[in-house]
Amino acid sequence: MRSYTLALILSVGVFLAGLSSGYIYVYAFKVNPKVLLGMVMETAPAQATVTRAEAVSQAVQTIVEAVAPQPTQPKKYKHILFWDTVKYVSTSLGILSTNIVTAFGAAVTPLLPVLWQRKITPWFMRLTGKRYDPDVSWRSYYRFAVPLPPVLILGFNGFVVSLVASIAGFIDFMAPEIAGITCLAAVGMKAALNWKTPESVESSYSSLWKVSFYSVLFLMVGAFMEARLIV
Amino acid sequence: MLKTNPFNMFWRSPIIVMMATPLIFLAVRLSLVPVAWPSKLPTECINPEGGFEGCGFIFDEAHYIPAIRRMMIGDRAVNLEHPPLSKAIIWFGIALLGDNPWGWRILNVLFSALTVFIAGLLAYRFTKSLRTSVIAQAFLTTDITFFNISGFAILDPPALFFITLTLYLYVSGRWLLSSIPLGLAMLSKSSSILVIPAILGIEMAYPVINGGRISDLIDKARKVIRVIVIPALVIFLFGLGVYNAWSGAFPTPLHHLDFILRYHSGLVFQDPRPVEMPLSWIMPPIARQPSPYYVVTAHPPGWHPVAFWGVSTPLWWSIWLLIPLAYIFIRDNRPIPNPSLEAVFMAWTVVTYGSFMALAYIYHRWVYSFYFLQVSTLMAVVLPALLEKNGLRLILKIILALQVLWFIMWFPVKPEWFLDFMLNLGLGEVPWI
Repeated sequence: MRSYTLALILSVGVFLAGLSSGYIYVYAFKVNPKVLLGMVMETAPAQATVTRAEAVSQAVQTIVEAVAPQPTQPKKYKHILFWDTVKYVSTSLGILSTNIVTAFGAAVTPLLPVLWQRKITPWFMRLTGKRYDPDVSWRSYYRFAVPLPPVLILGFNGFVVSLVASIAGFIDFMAPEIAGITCLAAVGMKAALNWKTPESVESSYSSLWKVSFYSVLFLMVGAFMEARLIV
Repeated sequence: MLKTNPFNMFWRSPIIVMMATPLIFLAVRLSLVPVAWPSKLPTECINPEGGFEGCGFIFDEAHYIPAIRRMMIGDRAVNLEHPPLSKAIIWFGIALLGDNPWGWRILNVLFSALTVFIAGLLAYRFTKSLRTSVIAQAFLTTDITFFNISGFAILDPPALFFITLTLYLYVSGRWLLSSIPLGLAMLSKSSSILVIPAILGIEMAYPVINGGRISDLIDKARKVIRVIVIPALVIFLFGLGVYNAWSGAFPTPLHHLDFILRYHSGLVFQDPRPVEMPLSWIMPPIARQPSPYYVVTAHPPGWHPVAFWGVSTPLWWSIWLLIPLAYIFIRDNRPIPNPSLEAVFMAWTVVTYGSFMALAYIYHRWVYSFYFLQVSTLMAVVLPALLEKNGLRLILKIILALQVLWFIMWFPVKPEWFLDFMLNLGLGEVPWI
């Protein structure tokens, strides 16, 4: 069983590879990072991410609005409800929700091939009446899907961070978010390192909840830091 | 029968050995006091309208020396946004040696030498090793930002001394006594107030780590508040009260405190790019340029005969190593004793550095890299102690060598041959500049 520490080192490496590729692309090929980021933001996963964050933020604001309407005379109601705080907290929650989905996605989706092999394939075989060998199918197909989510998500995340950092001129506001996503994605990376059998993939998740706790703390700090730049 | 020579015993006593580094520090730092010398008369350097060119001020001295001069001529209610003790100390120096850089800076250099001494005592208190204590002093002395700041006529050198003394007395178990320097630290610089939650954090960390009950936690907090916090606040408010009675600035010390808090709450930034954000403090100066406290440029050839920079150091970067080491020790050695070096370091760092992070990243308050001295002074003690404890002597030697090299590279006044050497190596005068 390969350890979480090794997986974490590898995850940091993959993230840094994505980050470096973005910087190289921007500086070596003289590409405008704003244009490149615009292209990235038009892709479906990026659109989904932004929409999710906005939806959560709007939902929180709508709920608060229903309970305590936005004051028309801010000075008068300042003592009752500081609406800027509501906007700030709701934006933070929006960012947090989207980062949590990304981080847990990288951590948990390596389990999908295991689930597929155990649940879907037998059902499919029963349907078609064909026989199959689970070990052979795992070795031939399914195990190759295990490393994809953490590697792709971390690499893509690093690439996007490099573009945002190039435009903004700083990276430190994103540091807790990066730490949170990388720590949680390292659980997925640990599964990827232990891809030999479905059982070894499953047993890689023994530390998931403990790591999740610390990662979510990082993500919360990151969300509150980033939201402060927006609101 | 073993004969003991009292003379040898005296010279080998830890206190005497630990005085060597502060004395060397004192000699070297004092030699740099006159490098920024005014060409104007003191009376021409009181009001900022004409600028302070030629006044010989370094960094924030431009705020404090004119304020002290105004106080000396009877305009007592000035620079109210900062507590008065550090300014009183600078004033005392001026009264002793005159209104010149010697008078402005000498007492702060002395306070900083004492800080180095107390840091050695603190390391000795934790490790009982003279070698570790001297290395700790060496780390602090060669911290170039500490070295530079230590000789400026600003608020930080006395505040750092009182903070370090508070910490030493606190870990020595002399809690009531520690409240005196804590009160004086708050009277020197308002950010010293972070020491209160830091000590509370340390004391409350033990029941949390050792699996104590909530009632233990509350008892600890109550004891710290009763024995340290309340006496320190009384000293602080009494000091503010004395200043206000003398200056007539505010009717009560609480009004003054309210003004200080309001003033500091207003120092927010919109664009974070020019701000020395806290994460840049614990990284080499790649993303952000070092801060030029006082830089004289010679044209040509364009090098700096005098250059006081504020820059992070290998000691500061070592936080990436110290936090995991301390965490692993705490995780694997429960119940931990009180005081424990690791618990003190973790709680102190989380509270002080964490507060600066929250202030900068969430509250968007202006912060400066030298604020990290409040953390790095303790780190100078913790770094050799933890590395020796974990048998990582080679790493300790490498970091110390790096620290010394870094110190030489950024030393404020460099001989011409050294500058030529650096330029010939293609490094520039110092890298990144």
